[in-house]
This record gives sequence, C-alpha cells and structure tokens, in this order.
Amino acid sequence: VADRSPPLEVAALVERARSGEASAFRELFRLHVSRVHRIVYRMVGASSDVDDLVQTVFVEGFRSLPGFRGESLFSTWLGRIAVRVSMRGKRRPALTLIPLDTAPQSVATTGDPHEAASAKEGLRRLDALLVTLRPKKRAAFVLHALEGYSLEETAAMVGASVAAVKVRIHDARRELERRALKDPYFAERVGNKERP
Amino acid sequence: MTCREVQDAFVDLQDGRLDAASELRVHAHLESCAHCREHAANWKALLPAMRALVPPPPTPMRARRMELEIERRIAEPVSLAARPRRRWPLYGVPLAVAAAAALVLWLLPRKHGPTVVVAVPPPVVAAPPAFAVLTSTDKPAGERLAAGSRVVLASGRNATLELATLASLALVGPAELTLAGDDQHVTVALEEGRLEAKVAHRQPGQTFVVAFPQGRVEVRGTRFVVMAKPVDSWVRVDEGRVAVFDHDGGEWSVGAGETHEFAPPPAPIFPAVPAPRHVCSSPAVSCGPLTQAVRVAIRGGAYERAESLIEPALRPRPNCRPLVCRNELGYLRAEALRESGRLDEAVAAYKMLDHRDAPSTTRQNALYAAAQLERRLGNLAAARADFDRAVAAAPGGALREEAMLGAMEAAERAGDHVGALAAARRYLDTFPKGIGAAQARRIVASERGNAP
Repeated sequence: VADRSPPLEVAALVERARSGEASAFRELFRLHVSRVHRIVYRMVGASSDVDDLVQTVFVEGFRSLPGFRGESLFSTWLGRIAVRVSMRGKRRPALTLIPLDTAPQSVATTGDPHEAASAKEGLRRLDALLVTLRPKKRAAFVLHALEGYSLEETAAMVGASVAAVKVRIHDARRELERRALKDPYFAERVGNKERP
Repeated sequence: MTCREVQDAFVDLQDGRLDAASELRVHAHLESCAHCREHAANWKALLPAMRALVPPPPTPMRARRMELEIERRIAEPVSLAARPRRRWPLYGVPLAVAAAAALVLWLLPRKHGPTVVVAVPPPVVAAPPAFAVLTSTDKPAGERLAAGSRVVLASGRNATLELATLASLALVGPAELTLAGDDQHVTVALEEGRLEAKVAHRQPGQTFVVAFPQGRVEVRGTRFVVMAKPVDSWVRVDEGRVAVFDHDGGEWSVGAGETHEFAPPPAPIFPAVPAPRHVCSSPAVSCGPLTQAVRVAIRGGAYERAESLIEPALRPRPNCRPLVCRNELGYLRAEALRESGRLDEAVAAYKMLDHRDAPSTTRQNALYAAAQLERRLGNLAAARADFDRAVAAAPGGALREEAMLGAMEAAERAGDHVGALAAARRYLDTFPKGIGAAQARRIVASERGNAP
C-alpha cells in the first residue's frame, strides 16, 4: 500500500518551495523520490530511461508548483505528473526490456542470494506481464493494485473518472490473471495452478 | 452483487478499504459463486506476490546525482522541445493576450496613457478606476493612477507604487515606467531605472510582467529587483523564482539569491528604424531529442558518439538564436570527456561553462566538477581556486557547502596554512554544525597552537 508522508509537513514544505526555498525542494524530492521512482519503473519497466524520467517528473512538478492549489495531496498531484511523464516517455521509443544482468539495478531483497535471484526473476516476469497491457490499463492497475492507491486517487492521477478507472483495472486484472497463471513463477505462488 | 462488482472489489477487500456491509456482501457472493471464489483465491496469492516485487529505490549516490541534475534543469531555460504538452490549449489564450499587450506596450511606449512626472509640475492624471497609488515625497497622500499611466521620476527621487493587484513597487530615480493591464494581467514597462518589486502570489492564469529594454521578467509571487539601463541591465531575485526573457528570446529561470545579467542588445530597444534582418543559415537543432541521444550514448559508454552529436550543435551559429540547450550540451560534453578518462580536456570543458550566460547553478556544478578533477590530478592550487569560484557562482546553491569544504581541504593538502585557515573560518562562519565543522575546528586550533 502506498506509503504516505505526514500531510501537514508536506504542505508546509510545498509552501516554502512555492516561495523558491531550495532546501524545501530538496526535502520534497527526498520524501517522494522512492514513490515516484517506483511508479515510473512500474510504468516503463527496467529501462535505462527510468532515472531521466524521474528527474523530469520533479522538474515538471517544481516548475508547475505555482499551479498546485492543494486540492489533492501533493503526492497524488506528483503521481499524476509521474504517470503523464511515464506515458509520454513510453510513447517515444518502443519499450524494450533490458536483460537484468545488465540492468542498472536489481530488486530489493533481504540479502539471501537464492531469494535475491528469485526476486530478480520475479521482477523481470512481472515487467514482462505489465508490458503487455496498454498504457492506460497499466497505469490504472499499477496505481490501484500494486501501489495501493484508492480508486478515487487513481482516477485523479490518471485524469479519468472512477468508472473509467474501474473498467481499466477490471480489464487489466483479467488479462494479467490469465497470463500470470501460465507463467511458472506466478503459477507456483498461486499453487501450481498452471493451465494448458 | 454481480460477479463483476465482486471481482472489482478484490483489491479493496485485501487492502481493508471496504465498509462492513460491502465486505459482507462480497463474502456472501463468494460463498455462493465458485467462479468468483477461484478468481479471489488467485488474486489473494497474486497480489502480495506482485507487490513484493518492488524495484529498489535509487541509491543515495544516484538520488544525489538526480537531485543535482533536477536543480540544474530547473535553472536551465525551458527548451520548447522538452515542454510538456498542455492538456488544455485554452491556457494559451490569456498568455497570448498578455503577450500581445506587452508587445503593443513595447512598440508604442511613448504614446501610451497619461504621464505622471514627479519633481516637475505634475499633470492631471486620468480619473479612476484606480490601478495603482503612487506615493512620493511630493505626493505623500498618494495619487491614484489608472492603467496606461506613465510615471517619470527625477534623479535622486524615490517613489512607491501600490498596485491594486497586491504588488508593491519601489522606484528609484531617474526612472520612467508605464503601467498597463488589468486585474488579471499586469505589465510594468520600465524604460529606465531601478525597481524593487514585491508581488503577492498570482493565481493560475494571472500574470505579472516587468518589461524593460533588454528583456522581461514574469513572476507568480516573489520579491525581486530590476535595474534597467541602456546596457548591463540586471535582475536580482530575493525570494521565489522568476522567468526572465532576454531580447532575443532566450528564457531563464532565476531563483532566490541569484542574479541574471543581460547581454547588451544588438539593436536599439525601441527602434525608430527597424533593425536589419539577418538570416540564420545553420541547420535547426532539436534540443530534446539531441540531449536525450547524448545521454543514452554516455550511459552506453559511446563517448565518441556523444561528442560527435554535441560538436556540430555547439559550433558558432551566426545570425541564429542561441540554442536553449547549449549549456546542457556543454555540460554533457564535459561529462563525456571525464567518463572517457580525458580529464584535462574535461576540466577545460567544465570551465567553459563559467560564463555569465550560464545559470548560476550550472556554473557552480561545472566549477565544482572541474575542481574535483583538478584535485585528483594533483593541481591543488587550481582546485582550490575553482572550489572558491564554485562557492561564489551560486551562494545559495546546493554545492556551496561541499565547495567550501573542497577549498579548505585543497589548501590544507597544498600546505597553504593561511589559505586553509581562512577557508576553515569561512566554513565555520557559514556552517558551524556542518559535516566538515570538526575538520575546520582542527585547522583553526592547530593554527592557534602554531601562533607565537
């Protein structure tokens, strides 16, 4: 489920950043970089562009800070920019998955090498599943199902109605479930229910 | 409850977001529907499995690099190619109206509106609606000014303009300005003089512009000072961030503590005779795709390719507008040289960014990088000088503390006790609890011990 920073603290930082205080920009970046990175990564996969896209999210966010009216949480507002930047970033080149051996990062693990290898493989397979979804469905599924945002927050972040988001998540879930059960990694976790 | 409604609720059910009644209805449906029960069981296993596959957050080093890159990009002028597509094209309408108003004002500065002359017999000013109230030693009670009014201030005189749109302008003579606009879009055309502005935060769609011969400043809520002169005009920002546009279309973002100096205009500001038109014959450069391609090349270790992409774009472009990404390309060129091990050339490339057209944070980043390389190469005196220049380039910049520490360490390693002591004292004055405070105190203490 999405981790949240204390809204009052963030609101004060946003106000200070609005008046151009550099330390507030930095603090906002540090508070939100992990979440933005996760959303962008889930949207574009293990691409070498992830860091560039994360930077673009913050640059666009900070530049348009005067337009942030505080009607939603800052994290939701930034998430909306992250989704938009990721979708725009995906539109330019065709998405290509980098083999994880050469990828710049590996999945977060506890240190057990077997677990690390398994998680690495799992992340690669999850990317392979998500990449099959159309971007709008992928965004809705990532935000609601994987990142734990509510339907209303997801709708605000993808700029669509709650009803439209429900349809996208429903379709994404059906497609993913069908494919996941054919994937040995996920089928094993569901209980070896691999189907022909 | 239908099967679809139940399946749509799987995630909320697992996250505990359903109210008690809904949860009861979902469970009741699941008990009676084998199809939904099977899907629910699948997602009960799949969702935690998928959520557990979390890509690791950026390492502190990567996050720091991102942070610096973000600060650099914010300080860079906005590249048209890199601008996000606006979802609502109607945003352009108020901006176009404001731009048109500014253009008219620019072209007809001396035929626009009544004139208020301070310290000479004042003319009768057009009646309200009041747009601003002018207060000066001659007019202590204040004088109401309408939009279109012109204010001329004699040498040595000061005046204050309180605008109805929550802005306060302090004017130092000799100065001339014209007020234009309305509640939503305010334009102050400053032909000459010093103006200190304190502008309340603008709502989206509202604009506040100070236009002057060598450029203009657009703000949304900030404090800044404009000095308009025939040459060497400048803008200093005390609070917030402003967009600065120079006469040839270049755009800059200037933040608190930073000063932007304008290059001399190539032609008269309010030309009586149109300036001759020059044709730009250099090939067009699209900054967004180019910088992206360079970054990909550097990341992939293709440094020669990166240079071959950058070099043509940085060639002189007579009669052309300067590339908005020229500083970014210069920085990337230096990075490519550094990554490829050509450290001396990298140092020179970084130092080439230390010019007044480059944003102060870019200058600081470049000088800091050059100083680090010089320290690695053993050129401690040069390193110290560049660390000092990095501090001076952006006094409020992110690398200020690191640059001060670098100067102190370089002086100490070079055996320059006087320089090290001065650098240590400066560091302690600025960062008494900084990460290098202990080291600085040690230098100060050892010098005290050496004193006769």
